[in-house]
Amino acid sequence: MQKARQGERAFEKMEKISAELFVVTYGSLVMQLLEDSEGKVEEVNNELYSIGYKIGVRLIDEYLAKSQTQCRTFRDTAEAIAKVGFKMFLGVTADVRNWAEDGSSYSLIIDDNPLTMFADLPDNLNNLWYSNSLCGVIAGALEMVLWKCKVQFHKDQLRGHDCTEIRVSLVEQLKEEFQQEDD
Amino acid sequence: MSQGKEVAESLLDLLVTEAAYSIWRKHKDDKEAVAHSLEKLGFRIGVAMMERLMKDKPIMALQGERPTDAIKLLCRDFWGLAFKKITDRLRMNKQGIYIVLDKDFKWLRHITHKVEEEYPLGSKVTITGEGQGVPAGTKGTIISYSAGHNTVEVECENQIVSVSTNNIMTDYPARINPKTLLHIPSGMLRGALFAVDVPVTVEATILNPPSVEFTIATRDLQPECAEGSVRH
Repeated sequence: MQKARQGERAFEKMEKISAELFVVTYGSLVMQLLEDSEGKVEEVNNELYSIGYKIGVRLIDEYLAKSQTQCRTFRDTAEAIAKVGFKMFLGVTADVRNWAEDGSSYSLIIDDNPLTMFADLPDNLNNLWYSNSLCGVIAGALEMVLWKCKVQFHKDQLRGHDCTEIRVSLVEQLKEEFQQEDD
Repeated sequence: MSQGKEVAESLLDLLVTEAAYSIWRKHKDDKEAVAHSLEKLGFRIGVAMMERLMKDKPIMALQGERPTDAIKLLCRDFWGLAFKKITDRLRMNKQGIYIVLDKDFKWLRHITHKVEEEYPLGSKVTITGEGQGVPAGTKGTIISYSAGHNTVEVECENQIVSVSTNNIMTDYPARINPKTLLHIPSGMLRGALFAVDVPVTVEATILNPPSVEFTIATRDLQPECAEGSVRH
């Protein structure tokens, strides 16, 4: 598949570090947020999302510069995220599945989520979406290219589910702010 | 368990920056809470990173009574992992405190240190600390920059005072103060040494950005006149 090849090429161009380094940093952040929020898990979920969103908003520039993908439709963006975006930044690809009939939503299935490499979820944290920043990153990046989406976890292997699934739903396509030219 | 997996470096940089901002925004009015949280975050990261490092290099058995070995490991291997280089200078002062210099500290490389960009003209500020010529808590507006490094002129009510940027707080800060950000790497160093049984306190001082000095004090400093023992 062409997108997979693009993903690999883009990944080659990136400055890379060991995944472990990133993973332990992310894990430390989750733990610190949990401590600061005094166990309010929903608050941490939101914070992880929010941090991810701000990352996504800034990540998109590097993505566009190094990936050379052209996305005209919402459908295009799905494969781009799964095969190019994921590969470029996380070193792994995801699968796009379960398209809604009207094409307005789909699932990203992640087989090998690097973020959870060393993570273990104790019972009292069963409401935590540990990798929720991923949802934020996707939402933030998509919004910068004018696709306003709702992105949320559906299933997480860390919680004992049979797979790790993020659902992406299109809310609306935004318009460029200054599209009109003066007559 | 390291399978040679890699991720983009920019992802880590962004994660750390946004994490810092998130924590900073949450405790905006409480400088101590921000510092504490950031330092603690750094501590966790440092412990975890050092544990990964030690897993790959089991031969590095360190003896607790030689903190110097641990510090050298820090300056070489840990620095390489966490900050992608080795330190530029390590010295120890008479009190047995280690001073580590990194002339090109990774975290400061991308932060602007131009006063004009961090504190634009017209910024509304609050003066913190005493001895600035006006009471602490006085509000004013930045009207110009002094010749001194990182000093601004603030107009407050009826007077104009020259204040160091260390002593002002902007009302709507868009940028995190680099000094605040450095609580994370300071914590990382404390965590890394904690992981090898060397309890320390760490303080960061920005010299001329991106040059940073970390002062590392071990807890069990020997008294100056130890009986009969020669220290080297």
